[in-house]
Amino acid sequence: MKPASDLSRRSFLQAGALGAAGLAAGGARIAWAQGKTDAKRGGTLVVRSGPIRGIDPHLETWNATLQVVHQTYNALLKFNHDGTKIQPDLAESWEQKDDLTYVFHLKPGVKFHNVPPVNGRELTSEDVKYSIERQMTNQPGKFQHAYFFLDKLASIQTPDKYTIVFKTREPYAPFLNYIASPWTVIVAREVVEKHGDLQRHAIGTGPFIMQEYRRDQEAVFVKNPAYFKKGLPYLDEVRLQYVIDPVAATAAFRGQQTDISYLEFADVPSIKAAKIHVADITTMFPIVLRTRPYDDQRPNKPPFIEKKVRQAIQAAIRGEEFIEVVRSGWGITMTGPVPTYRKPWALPASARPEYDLKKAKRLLAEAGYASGFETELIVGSPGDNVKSAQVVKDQLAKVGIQVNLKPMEMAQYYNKSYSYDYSMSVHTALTGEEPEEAFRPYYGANATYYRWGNKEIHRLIDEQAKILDQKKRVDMVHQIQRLLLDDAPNVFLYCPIAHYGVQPWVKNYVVPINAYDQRYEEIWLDGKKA
Amino acid sequence: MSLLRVMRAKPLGALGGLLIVGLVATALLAPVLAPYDPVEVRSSDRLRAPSLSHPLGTDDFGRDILSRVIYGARISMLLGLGAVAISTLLAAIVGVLSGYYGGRVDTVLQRGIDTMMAFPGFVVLLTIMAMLGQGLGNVILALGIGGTAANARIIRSAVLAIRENQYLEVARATGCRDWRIIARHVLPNIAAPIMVVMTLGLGVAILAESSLSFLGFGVPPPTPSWGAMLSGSGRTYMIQAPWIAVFPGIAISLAVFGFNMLGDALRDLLDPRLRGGPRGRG
Amino acid sequence: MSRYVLRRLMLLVPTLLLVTLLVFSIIRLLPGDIVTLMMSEQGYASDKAKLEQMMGLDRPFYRQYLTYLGHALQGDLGVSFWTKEPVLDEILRRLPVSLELALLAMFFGILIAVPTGIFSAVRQDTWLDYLFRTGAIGGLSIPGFWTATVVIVGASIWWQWVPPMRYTPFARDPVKNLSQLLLPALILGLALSASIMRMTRSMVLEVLREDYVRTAWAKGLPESAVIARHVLKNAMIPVVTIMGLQLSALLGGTVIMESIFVLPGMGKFLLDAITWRDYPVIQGINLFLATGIIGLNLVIDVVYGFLDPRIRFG
Repeated sequence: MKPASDLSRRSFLQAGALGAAGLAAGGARIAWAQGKTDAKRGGTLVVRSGPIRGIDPHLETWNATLQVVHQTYNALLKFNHDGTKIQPDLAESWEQKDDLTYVFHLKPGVKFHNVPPVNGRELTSEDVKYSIERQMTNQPGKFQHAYFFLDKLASIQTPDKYTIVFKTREPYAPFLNYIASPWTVIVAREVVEKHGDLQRHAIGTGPFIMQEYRRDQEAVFVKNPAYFKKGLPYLDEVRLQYVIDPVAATAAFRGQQTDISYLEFADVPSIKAAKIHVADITTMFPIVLRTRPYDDQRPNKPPFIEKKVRQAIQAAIRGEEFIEVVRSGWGITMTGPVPTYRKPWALPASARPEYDLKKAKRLLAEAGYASGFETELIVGSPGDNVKSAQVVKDQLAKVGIQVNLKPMEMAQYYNKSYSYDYSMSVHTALTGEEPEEAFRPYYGANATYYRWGNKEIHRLIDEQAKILDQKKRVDMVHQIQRLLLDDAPNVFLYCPIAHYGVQPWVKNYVVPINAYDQRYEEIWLDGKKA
Repeated sequence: MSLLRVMRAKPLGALGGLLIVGLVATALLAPVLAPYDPVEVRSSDRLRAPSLSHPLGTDDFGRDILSRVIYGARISMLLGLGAVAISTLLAAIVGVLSGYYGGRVDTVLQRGIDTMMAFPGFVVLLTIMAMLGQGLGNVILALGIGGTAANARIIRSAVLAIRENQYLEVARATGCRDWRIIARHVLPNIAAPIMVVMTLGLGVAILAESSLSFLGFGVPPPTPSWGAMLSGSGRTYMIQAPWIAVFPGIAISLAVFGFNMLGDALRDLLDPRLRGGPRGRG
Repeated sequence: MSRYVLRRLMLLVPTLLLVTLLVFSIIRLLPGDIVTLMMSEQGYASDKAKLEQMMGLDRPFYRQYLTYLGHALQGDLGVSFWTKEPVLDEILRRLPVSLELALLAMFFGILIAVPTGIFSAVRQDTWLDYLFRTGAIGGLSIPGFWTATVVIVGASIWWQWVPPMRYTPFARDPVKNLSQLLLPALILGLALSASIMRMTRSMVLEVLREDYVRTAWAKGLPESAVIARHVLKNAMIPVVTIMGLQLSALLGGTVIMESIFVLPGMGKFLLDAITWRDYPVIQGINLFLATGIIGLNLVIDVVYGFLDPRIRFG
């Protein structure tokens, strides 16, 4: 019987000067551990929200959806704020019985919100089974995170009301991380049966009950009096306010209309100068320069079919310049698809491809492109990636590659991106606590976000998931990344650092590393003006 | 009437005219005037305040603002002239045909105009940009098409006003061909309102481009358009580096101001009804 | 007169049909069709055909169009592809916001423009005239989003205050409602006032030259009386027309103010719908706006006809 796994600690800050988040983490946790007696009850928390299309946790991918989802639902397990430990949520204990079997024991007496059509009934293992099965359904117009469990589970059994037994087909190393993923929440089947999907209704077991939901304006939640974690939440109400214009949003924060807000980096110095706490979080969304995708149905084309061309591009790109120009220094460089702070999965700094213009020119000449070539780069507009695209153009011009920028509105960009029909693009990738989230959906055999037809990499990606021994798995994940750096389908530009402002009257809140984690159940307010 | 007398009579218009001359000169002489390359990224020179080496400062890519504002004049002129040329041409065709022939032609064309005007200007712009994609040419096309309907109405009323004139009837009675009448009599007489419309349209086009940029539909980077500078990095770095936005903003304001003043003065001068007040000057 | 009105009403129908047909076709020409978009956004989808069928996009164009028309005539504008909410409901929820903003903007525009336009005309070519015209043009030379940005950021830094970013309907709390809408309305009104002022000024100038006004002058009527009694009424006619034009431009053109001041209006709604290719929403809004604008133009033309006897019998 193996105990609940402990992800190894990883350092997430490269530069020492950015230690603020670390200090805040330590400080705040001690305050909470010392006692909930100084917690004040009541008040409304206002948080800046991002654009949402819908709030169905199984269908959507944007983190604003999770801002809603995490108020109203719970999961079996969850990560702590820096992603290093898995903690219980709905499951009070769990164990891995053997290589293929995981058993979870639910807390008894957890009730859904007392809202029709669920009406406050008790959560049982059947609900867990239903939710996981729904999450991994492969149907059109649906499930983004199906790849977590699809074709990996042999069975989900519910021997009694509070016990769930998962059996995987083969040893599946990512299993627990996926169970603890912010997306794997437990929903109620009655809501799905009544409304067809969960895009506009959120009825779960969570600390807050949804009172109002207006998609492009705000969502309002009130305290769940029957929440299963006794004593929580402290707040009476949570309001997610959608402010699309970043300048207006920062002004709203300065004007004390929002309590927690994502901030633009250009505004951070002046807000910090006003003695307001700003957490600097290295995000999980690296910016990537992609070259032409290919698979069995879509063969690659010149010039990108030549490995040397791709390697030349890699050698001509200098990551630091992106961080300076696009983010004013707020970012970290990368050594591969797994961000550098995720140790031990990330490659060491020594593995980073070298910036070498001479080598780039030599490789181009060897591939037959001594005088360079012309190509097109698509990017979604508006956004920072348009700026990154300009830096790419400028850098590649130095080795004779003429890049024509084609910014396009998001709808068209996604269209081209997912029909895998482009020569180059600048893209925001997704990663997660589970390391394979950084490469399986991109370079694996059934990848969705990108297509790369290198069969050796496919095989290795399939294999690494089956290795339960962490040390061996790390080795294989490193091997995969080294192969990717050599094959160079993409160049990993940088990982942005994002900023979240927290007003001084918001207590007991540590901004989590994972921007997808939006749980406010332990926050209380002290000193907020009404 | 000598130019000097006109300028003294209409000082605001004269000021506008001077501004426009300056704008055109800047646009034409851009490569000579600009000290730096407007699009080259120089990451070591980012966000510098105005100084001797960079009189208007640099932006977040290290590019010289003065050079970008100078080249931006080119973009603005291209935008304005292109958009106005397209919209005036289309509007003139529709307006003249509608006004001259009247009757069923007029009714049908008017329905067309009504249809176009039923879409708020911005909606038309956005839809066209979504169809065509980003790019300077597409923005010009969109602005041109978007401005057609309103101008067509104006031209039509101008033609209607002339139609009543006697000599048109005479021309028709003597058997002159329609297109000849249009070319010889109609067009020269509506030249005045057309000129006014065009001048004002230039200012509108520049402003519209900056609004499109704000929404993400404007001229794509790294092209130095004033609107993109104002709504992009200018806004982001408003507090840290206000010079990025201030100078393009001043440029836009001066250009729009100039076109409007010039257009107003032209209208005053060319329309005999508007010359002089109740006390009857000129 | 009534024949004129009747004729215009009859022309309303084909115009509306044309509008809907135009919108229907154009949005389907937009690159990046919604099916691929939905599929790409939602990962694993592999069944394009099934998705198309779900959204009724597999049927031939004319059948889609006729079905849509049929429903529209019954007041059913369909549901949004993304949110599944009925389009008409969402429009009706957002309409009051846009309308209030547009009307307030017009109010400010007129408030500023008409008096300054009249003064400017009466004192033509004096320094007052120059001052007012410079001010008016200045007001429209600065892009609205920039003025809004400077005001909001300035207020937030100096006074730690911003206009509320949460919309409250006027009926529920007029003070909160106005405190949010006042600033954007003022900014929009400022831009509007330039063209209204210009129009007012030229119309007043024209009227001032008319014989009957000169007669009034000659008879010794004081200036104010001349203006009030004779000038205003006739000068207002084309101003009314331009107001109509501006109102229709406003209704779609409030996107920027809505974005910055967080107002749930039609402009932003439409922009989002275009961005995400939400066909039913785009069609619904366009149909709605078009009907409103054409109707508005009709009303204005009728009012115009009443005010100007020359048109009445034309």
